[in-house]
Amino acid sequence: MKRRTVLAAATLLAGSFMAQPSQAQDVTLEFVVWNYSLETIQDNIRQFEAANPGIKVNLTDYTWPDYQDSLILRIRGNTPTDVVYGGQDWLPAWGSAGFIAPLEDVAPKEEIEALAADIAGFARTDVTYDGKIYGLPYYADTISFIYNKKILADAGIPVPTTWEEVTAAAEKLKAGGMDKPIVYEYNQELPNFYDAFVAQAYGRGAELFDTELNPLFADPGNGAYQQLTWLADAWSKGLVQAETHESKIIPAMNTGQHAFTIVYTYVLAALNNVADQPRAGEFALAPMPGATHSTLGFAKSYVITRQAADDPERAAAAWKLVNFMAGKPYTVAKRWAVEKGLGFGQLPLFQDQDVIEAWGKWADVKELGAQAERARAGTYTEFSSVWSAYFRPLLAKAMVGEANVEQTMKDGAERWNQLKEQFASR
Amino acid sequence: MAGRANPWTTGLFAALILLFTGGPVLLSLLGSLIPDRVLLDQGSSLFAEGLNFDGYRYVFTGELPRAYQAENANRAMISDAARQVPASLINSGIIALSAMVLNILLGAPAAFLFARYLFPGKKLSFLFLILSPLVPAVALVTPIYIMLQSMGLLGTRTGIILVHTARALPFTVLILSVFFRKMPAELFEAATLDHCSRFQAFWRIALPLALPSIGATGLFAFMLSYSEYMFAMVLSGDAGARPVSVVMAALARNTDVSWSLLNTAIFIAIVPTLVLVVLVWRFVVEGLLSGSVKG
Repeated sequence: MKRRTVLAAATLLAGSFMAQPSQAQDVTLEFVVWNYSLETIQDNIRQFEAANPGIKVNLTDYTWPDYQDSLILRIRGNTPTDVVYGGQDWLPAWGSAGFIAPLEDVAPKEEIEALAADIAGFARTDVTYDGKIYGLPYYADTISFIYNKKILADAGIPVPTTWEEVTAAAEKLKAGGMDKPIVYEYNQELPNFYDAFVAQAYGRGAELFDTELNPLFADPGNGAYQQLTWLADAWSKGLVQAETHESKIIPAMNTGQHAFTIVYTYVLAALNNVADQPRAGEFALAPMPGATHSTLGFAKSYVITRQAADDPERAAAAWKLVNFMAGKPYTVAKRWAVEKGLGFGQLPLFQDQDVIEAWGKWADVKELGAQAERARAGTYTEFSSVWSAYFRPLLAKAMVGEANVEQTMKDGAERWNQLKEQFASR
Repeated sequence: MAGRANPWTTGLFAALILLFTGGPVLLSLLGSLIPDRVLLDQGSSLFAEGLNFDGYRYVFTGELPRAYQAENANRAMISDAARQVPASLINSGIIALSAMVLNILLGAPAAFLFARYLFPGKKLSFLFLILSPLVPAVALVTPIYIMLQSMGLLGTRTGIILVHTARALPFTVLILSVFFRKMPAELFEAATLDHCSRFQAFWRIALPLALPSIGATGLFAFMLSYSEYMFAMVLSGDAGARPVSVVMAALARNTDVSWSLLNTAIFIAIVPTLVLVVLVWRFVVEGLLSGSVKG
């Protein structure tokens, strides 16, 4: 009797679940991201689903340091994955492995070209592999030369425009009692360490590689060679304080004991953050010193997987999602910029009043827009991360005078050539 | 006869242990109650603006800390991963408890058989079981991921529970088999004379005697599961099944998180563990030691 009652209750319960009105969904997309600001992503997804009935989006997130490994495991394990966050340094490897698809496989070419025309040059390069555009920017940023306005004004020093002027300004501040006027993110483990060096070399107008990807930086006339010489000189003069991470540069600059640093622009937002920084408002960016004032930029992007591209229904839905997140009228990119202070690759947003108002609180938006237009992308290949891991320790030694600049550049070029040859024969 | 320890030396060691274990907990509590602006300003006193519970309010209600409500504030530092901490604690509790129960259910009978009976392949299977934890976890991630995917268990707590159970089971079997082996053989001979089956001997005689060790071993499995990161990260998929180890890694490895908020999350995550340790640690140690001496 008891068993019968339980069975009847279970049947009723099951029936009641089955009787729930089911929401018919034509397509369910699997969207994979790293876990930054999930509430905003989920809200964006809600808006997308409301605007696109019949498409449901499942969000999966991984922690940033484990993101690439987890994503590759997903794709290799054939876990349904349609749209993912991509990075400029991963794109060549993912593209050559066939994990992701060019956007022209899922959307009209002219539509992609129209969107690409609005994207800053460095960001367009970062979403391009083998001549094809693979994604649209989710987030883009440049490396900035940042200075303390108050310190320079008090010392009567104009904002330096060349690296020689930076040395002169730092020497003057040192003579005036500031021990280490330049604070530098010095950590050979971090890709940022190499990126900042490239940004400085770009400021001088350096080309690190030619169009055939042959290294040029071992030539003493090359801007990268000259910049490494400049860094070694600044270090030997005791002008530079090393910090192991940008998060340590923020409090260091806020002690008022340093005037210059070279970091990603988002650090400027943190430096000028009234919520937690005692010297907020004292920091500004200046064009990267050097002849061209160019710098390095990078873009993270929304990319579509090959699995999705091969299924016409999912491909169409995936393109709609990417276009919603990064396409015109750039509502989502603008939201990230205004609400979270994230950089963007869509140049028209530098003219947007809401963006100007939000960003104007911590940066000169006009200057930032000009910097984004001048910025150039890094050189990323299937082997560049392997090479960068080899080259960064050499760079670190040369900066502090433990290795010779000429030998460092020569070794770096040789290793690049070896890897290029190795990967070409694969 | 053992000499009495010098009370000063004992006190010094106790203070050092307290400093290294309790110090970080107190620091995280303090850091969670002080606004970032004060924490990062080397020139001002830690208590310049008093203590506040803004971080805790954000974690539980989503209301931004007051300093970040200012018009010019950069809200990128407020990571909403911190808001996952309470739910992730529940996930961790469910996963670790289930792994513990499964470990006891599967491990205790297995340990009893290994300890008290002879069967073909006993040595080999015991060796296989005991040596299996020597396989690096990283080598197992891909096959386990693919296996769970084929079972439809990716992104579920069940998948993580099964993996955590399998990871702790060798330890459970090893520890309990040592305990069962040390039980007097006369007990089981008497049970056989009284027509007890093997299961009855286990259920009525071995199990009641082994309860402290089983409890301790279960808690050991609980703690292994609670602190496990790699499989939890790869298999949890999204916030619905994510345990606290993964959420804390997301927060701690993100350098852009507000310090005050990070400390708040750390303290919230520590509290249940602290309570558990205080309540059951003595029980765990006594239980484990009871299997290590003959008596």
